Amino acid sequence: MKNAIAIYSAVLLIIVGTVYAEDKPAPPKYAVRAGKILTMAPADKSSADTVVINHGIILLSDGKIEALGANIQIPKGYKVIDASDRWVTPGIVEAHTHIGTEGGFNDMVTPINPELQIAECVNPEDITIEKAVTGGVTTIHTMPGSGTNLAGFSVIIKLDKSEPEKMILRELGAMKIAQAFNPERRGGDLGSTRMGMSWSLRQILKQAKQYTEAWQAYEQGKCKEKPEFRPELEKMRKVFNGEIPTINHTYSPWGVMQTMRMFNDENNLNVIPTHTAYGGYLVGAEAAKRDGVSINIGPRVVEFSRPTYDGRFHAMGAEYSKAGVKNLSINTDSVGWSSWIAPQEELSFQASMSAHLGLDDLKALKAITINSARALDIDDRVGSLEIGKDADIVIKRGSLLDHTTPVDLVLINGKIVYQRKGVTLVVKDEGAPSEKG
Amino acid sequence: MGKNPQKSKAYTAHLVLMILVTLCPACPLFADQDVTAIKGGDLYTITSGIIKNGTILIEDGKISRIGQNIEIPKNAKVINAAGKVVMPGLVTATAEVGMAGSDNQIAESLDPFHYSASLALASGITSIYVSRGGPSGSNPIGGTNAVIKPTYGDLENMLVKESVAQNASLSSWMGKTNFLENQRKAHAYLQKFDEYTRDKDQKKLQELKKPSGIDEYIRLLKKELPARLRATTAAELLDIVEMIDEFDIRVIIDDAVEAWVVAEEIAKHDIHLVITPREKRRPNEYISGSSGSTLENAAILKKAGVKFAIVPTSPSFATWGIAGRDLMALPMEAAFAVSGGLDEQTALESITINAAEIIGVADRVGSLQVGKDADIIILDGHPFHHKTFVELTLINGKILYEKSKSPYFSHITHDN
Repeated sequence: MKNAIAIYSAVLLIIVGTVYAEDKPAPPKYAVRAGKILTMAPADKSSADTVVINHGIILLSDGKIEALGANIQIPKGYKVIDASDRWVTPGIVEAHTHIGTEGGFNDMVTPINPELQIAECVNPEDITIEKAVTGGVTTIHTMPGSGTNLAGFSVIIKLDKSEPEKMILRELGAMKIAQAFNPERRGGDLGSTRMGMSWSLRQILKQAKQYTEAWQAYEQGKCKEKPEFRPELEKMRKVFNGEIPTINHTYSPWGVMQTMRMFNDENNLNVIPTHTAYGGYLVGAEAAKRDGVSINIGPRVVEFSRPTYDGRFHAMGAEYSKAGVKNLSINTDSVGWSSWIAPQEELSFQASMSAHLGLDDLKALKAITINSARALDIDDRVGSLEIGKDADIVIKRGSLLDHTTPVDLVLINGKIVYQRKGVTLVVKDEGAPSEKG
Repeated sequence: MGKNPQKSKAYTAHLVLMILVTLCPACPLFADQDVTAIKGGDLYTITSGIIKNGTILIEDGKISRIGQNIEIPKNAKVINAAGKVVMPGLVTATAEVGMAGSDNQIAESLDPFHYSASLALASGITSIYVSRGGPSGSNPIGGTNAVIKPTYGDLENMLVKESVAQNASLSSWMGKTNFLENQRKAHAYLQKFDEYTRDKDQKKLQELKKPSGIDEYIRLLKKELPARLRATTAAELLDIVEMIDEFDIRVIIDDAVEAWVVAEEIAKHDIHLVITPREKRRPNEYISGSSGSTLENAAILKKAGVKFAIVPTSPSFATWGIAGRDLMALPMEAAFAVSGGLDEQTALESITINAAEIIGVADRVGSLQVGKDADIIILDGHPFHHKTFVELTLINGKILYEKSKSPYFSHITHDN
């Protein structure tokens, strides 16, 4: 009898499997023949350098990177993407943006909104998504605005809109907090000053911490009584369990310091202070001391004179880097395609401008790939070209920092999602490498 | 009396000598001191290619010689540009900057101490088109404009040329109607005027009266000045094309986002454009043809033979934190046009000689050519490379900016 069920199940599986396969054919396996591979990953954990492979091959299958290196034979059955005169880099990761959603900006009724999440507002048809891909952006962390102190929870999505149901990489990206300037809302409730805002935030953090600890004690058997279920605090449990970070809109040395104190020092949370302009870099050394703090800059990347009043243009990226901040990332904070400030597809240009103003080129590239992935704790999936990671790849004639050369080809999860008009890089159906390249 | 004539003579001689000594740097004996030589750099002349390891001589604020193997006069002031890029100062065909004040007479309200003059120098921009006022209400022509140089602290040399175009607007129905009506009046008057001057004695014609309010239109018809208009969509652009079909006038169009859609028409009518490659406009779903913005705008226009200048998304000097979208990064905007398929040479022309031609000052600036103003910039790399800085800016042969001596960027080095 058991055998019969097993056989029956196997047959059913085959049938279902066949139907599924007919519905959605497996994406082809690709072999990328690259002129230069910028992996954005170190050779080993002790090294800080990025491995660069000249004239290498990357094999992609099942949406992942199967192999990469200089001496790889292309097996049979792989389509060859000939990028032998091009640079091959990981897809760009945006750590702070507002695109790709509809109706997820600011819910202005109350200042503290731990119940809200933007994941349900993802709109694959938002024009900004296809535009972003043309700039090599493959993963975005998109979030509510900074109109309230706790705006809700962000979402991390991959920009392959051909399968909308598979776009979400993590439903709860981070908890979005806003601490200085924008959330000083003067809505007639508590929080029109920073005193009030800090009080409100500390109250909710305290409640959520106690709530999380109560459940931890219960789940570990330390406490027999089941805690009262509080849906409005459920999402914050993930923050206090260390599963997701908070991302904090913050400005000025005071603001950045306050963010680090309240969230990292007092509550031991992983925190991404974002924007951090108006002199935030002056406490850069304090940020560098804290492992749980990842500085994210943008859309402003330069400060003129203030608050140092020295008549100089201070590059925020270079200043934070000089202060010792290691996991620096850069954003566009894009609010829409036609916004002239920093459209999503120009995240790499934000990095270029940071490099122009004094940030090392490689650090600028890390700031839009592996560092933003690490800040969001998704670096096991994206941000660098390593075996086992998602096959998110950008191919162009120059570095991502060069803006005379356009992006030619973008793959997400091993699928070609963008190929520039007039460019044909897929040269063969089968393997068997040609020597000419 | 009591004056010793002998002594008095000696005194006079002494005085003359003293005056001579004081004036020495300016006296003809020391003329070589007025020569500046820039040597060793790659000269991006714009109009005649790149001269590797070339020399430029500057005399009286003008370029006097340019080329390889040029002998440098002994007493010349020498600027060593070895390993650097030397090119004409950049020209912006649009700017909203404070140094031109708010008065309708631009010459009366120039502010040589405005910070934007100082930032322009640090950005390598040496010629700037500014305008004040503009068409308003039912009046389709108005305002004034000028080309200025950001000679920080020096009012004397700021104004290059006033009234280089006739600011006009056809965007409102009233404006357009009035424009066409006045243009027709001016056209009819000019025709009558020709007849009148030819036949007035023979036929004893009555004195011809000029209708009021058509002076500007006459200037347009005589092609003394171009009309400068704004048109974004293909439909708006074709409206202007139609107008030129009726009246043969020169036209410059700002903001021509959808020009790529009607590039051939624009080329045929020799319309000059001012474009921003990164400017965004969504495609219009209500029409079946092409619409919206594209990075390829510049490349398509070039192919059709259209002359254009490139300006950044924000034609100002931004100090509030956003980098790469304002006049401080003018070459970056042109670099984006290259990524859209434009050749590098034309991209460089669009921020130098072509911009100068469009704003009517190409006889003086926009290229490294003998006889032109010595408005020269020295860069530490290719103008389209993201790391490149302006190291030195000269206007009329005078060094007005040195990166190493200015607080702005002197602390930024790329050797780390």
